[in-house]
Amino acid sequence: MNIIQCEDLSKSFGRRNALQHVTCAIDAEKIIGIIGRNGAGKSTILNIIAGYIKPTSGSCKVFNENPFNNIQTAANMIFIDDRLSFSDYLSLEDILKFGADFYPNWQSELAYRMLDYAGLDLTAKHQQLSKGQLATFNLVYGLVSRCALTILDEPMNGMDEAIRTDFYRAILKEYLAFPRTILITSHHLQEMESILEEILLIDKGSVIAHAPLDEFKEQLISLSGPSDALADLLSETEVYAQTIMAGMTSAIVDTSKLFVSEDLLRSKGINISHLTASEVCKYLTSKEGSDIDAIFD
Amino acid sequence: MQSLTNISLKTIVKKQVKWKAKLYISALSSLVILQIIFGILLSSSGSTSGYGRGNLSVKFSIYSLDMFLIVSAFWAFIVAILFTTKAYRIDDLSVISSRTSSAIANIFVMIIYSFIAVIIMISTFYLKVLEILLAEKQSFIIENLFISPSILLLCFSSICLFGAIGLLLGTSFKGPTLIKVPIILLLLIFISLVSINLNSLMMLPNLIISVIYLFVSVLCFCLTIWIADKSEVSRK
Amino acid sequence: MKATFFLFFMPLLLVAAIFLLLSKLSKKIKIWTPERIMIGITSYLVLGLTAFLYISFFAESKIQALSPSEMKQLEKKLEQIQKYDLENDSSYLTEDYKKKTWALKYEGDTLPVIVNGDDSGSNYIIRMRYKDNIDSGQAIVTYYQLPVIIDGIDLSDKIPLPNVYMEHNELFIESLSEQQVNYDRIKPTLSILDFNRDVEQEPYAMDYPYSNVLIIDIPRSTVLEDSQGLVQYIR
Repeated sequence: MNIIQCEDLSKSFGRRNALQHVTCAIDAEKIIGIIGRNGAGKSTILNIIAGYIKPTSGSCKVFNENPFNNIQTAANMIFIDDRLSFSDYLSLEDILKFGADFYPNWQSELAYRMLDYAGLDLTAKHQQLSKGQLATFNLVYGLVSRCALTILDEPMNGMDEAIRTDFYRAILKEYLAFPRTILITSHHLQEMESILEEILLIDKGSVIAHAPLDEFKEQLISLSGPSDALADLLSETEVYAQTIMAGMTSAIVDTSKLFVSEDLLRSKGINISHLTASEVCKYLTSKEGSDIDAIFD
Repeated sequence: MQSLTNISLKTIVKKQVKWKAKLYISALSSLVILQIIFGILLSSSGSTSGYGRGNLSVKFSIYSLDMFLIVSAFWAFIVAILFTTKAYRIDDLSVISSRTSSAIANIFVMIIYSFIAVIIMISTFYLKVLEILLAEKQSFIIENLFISPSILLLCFSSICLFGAIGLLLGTSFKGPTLIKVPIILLLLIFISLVSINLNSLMMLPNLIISVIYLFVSVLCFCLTIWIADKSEVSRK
Repeated sequence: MKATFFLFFMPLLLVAAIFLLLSKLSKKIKIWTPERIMIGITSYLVLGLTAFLYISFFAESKIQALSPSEMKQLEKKLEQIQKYDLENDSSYLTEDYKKKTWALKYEGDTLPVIVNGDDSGSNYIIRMRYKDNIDSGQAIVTYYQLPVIIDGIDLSDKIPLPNVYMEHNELFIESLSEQQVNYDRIKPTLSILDFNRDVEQEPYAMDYPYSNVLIIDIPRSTVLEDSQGLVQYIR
């Protein structure tokens, strides 16, 4: 069952188009990574799903309802990002009581244990926390509320390495204990890979890939070998990146457009290597011919 | 698939009102301080009226509720605008809420606070009276110690009205431009109409003025909810 | 326009400024939890209630404002008095209104009367009356104070008495210098409204020129010399 269904969704802020004709569907009870470069439109789509902003055109349905200003979807959704804020008067402990009062599935016991583990002082005020502590607290808040749709926007921003690893496990454990749909955006795709089931890649306001993680990784492939052996091949297919050095060429190409068997390639002295998800993301979203070196030349 | 939670708007509004009334309390403490500053410390003489009769001149310093009400009404206006500012709106996003529920909750909190503001106002008035009594025991005239219910209702409705206008103004500033402009124009027209007809308005009995004020407040509240319903929100 | 600005915007700006200052300050001071603020506000309200109770039990104000019905009665009474005065009938001057009596001696059969310091108009009226039971060479001056009500307050006691004395065989009547009285009125209404409504309603002040009467009683044998023409005969 699809819990999120977007059709031809567009959103523009003034003249700037943040989202353009996005159509996607997200299944229930999956952990989905929403990946995209800065300004790709990740936050916009999350804000629309959360019901904070209204699409300019197209439709978005969450739990089969229009999420905009809808109390029913709000009751089953929580949106965590680094701007989550609470009244100045609430200590962390008060915030837990505050959340418990609103969210019916609230896990108070678990919240205390997790905060204790992270070493957060319950008497502290939310706005007094450091960046990493704030992220930790917000993530705990998002997890223990056990909402059917949990949106985590850069949940690990500012956390140190050790606590990040711990909390990826915590997300996974909580997911297993109470299966729900979790949408995560992060810049650290590499770390997240272990918990993700699907990846939704957004670039320049459009969805350019939406696939299970394994399938996603196989979208691109890296070929390297003598330049003359590769030249013919590369002219027939879509090349995402190419470097030539001392007669050797290495190139990233679209797997689906490569109609040559691996054995044939090997016989030509071409090496095939698979890419990680984050590399795939990088190549899929990189601008044509963009090269940071070029601006220094 | 986990079953979804069904929560009615009423439940959420109730919870929001409960928490907001508690967390916005600093608004009330500022009213107490404002009342002390304006009512007790600054207005030392009250309004005066003098009569001369032969070789006797009489000066009356009248201590009425005016100053206390004006301060409370302005306070309500500022507080209401403050309630609609970003800092407060973002806090609402941290729990189950919709713009509608937050707007309704704000309205209820405003009404509750207006009510408490009337009590604070009266309290300050009697403290002021006590101050005069202790200072000048001789020339002290208590025309009436009890505030009549119709005056109380009028005070409540005036504070409520200012709060309602503040909420409407604050909300419409954040609303879509198509709504924002007509609402602000409407408010301006309303205010100019009131100030032109202020004298004839004041000639009406207290009860009628209160009813008019409350009616306009309700109108503002409805518009506030309607605009909030259409507004987008963002943590950014 | 200027008045509205000062009346309306200045307080608004002041309230806003103080309010913002307070909210900034309250953020600095961390001890104010909602519970403590609630306790603070409640105690303020209790303080107000205590003040109210104290005032209502212990502060019997000596000066009472008259109710409109009492005012109506008084008004009728004063109209009556005016009639009596026009008919030169002194029977309205009862003991109740008597304030002060001066017994004065003079020589001869004429008594010149000089009224001094009465620039401000009819401060009091002076009447003379012949009486049989007075020895010759003696005059009795009596001051009567009829009710003076201003804004519902009886000010009869506050009006300064004239100074009456004999010098060079002449009767001098001098009014005293101006006297100022201040009152603090507690009026738990909205004076903006009262003020505006008062314009249409009847004035609340009652003020008759006939309320201060000075009677000079002299024997029939005496002639009162009144060069200023202020003294009238009364029965």
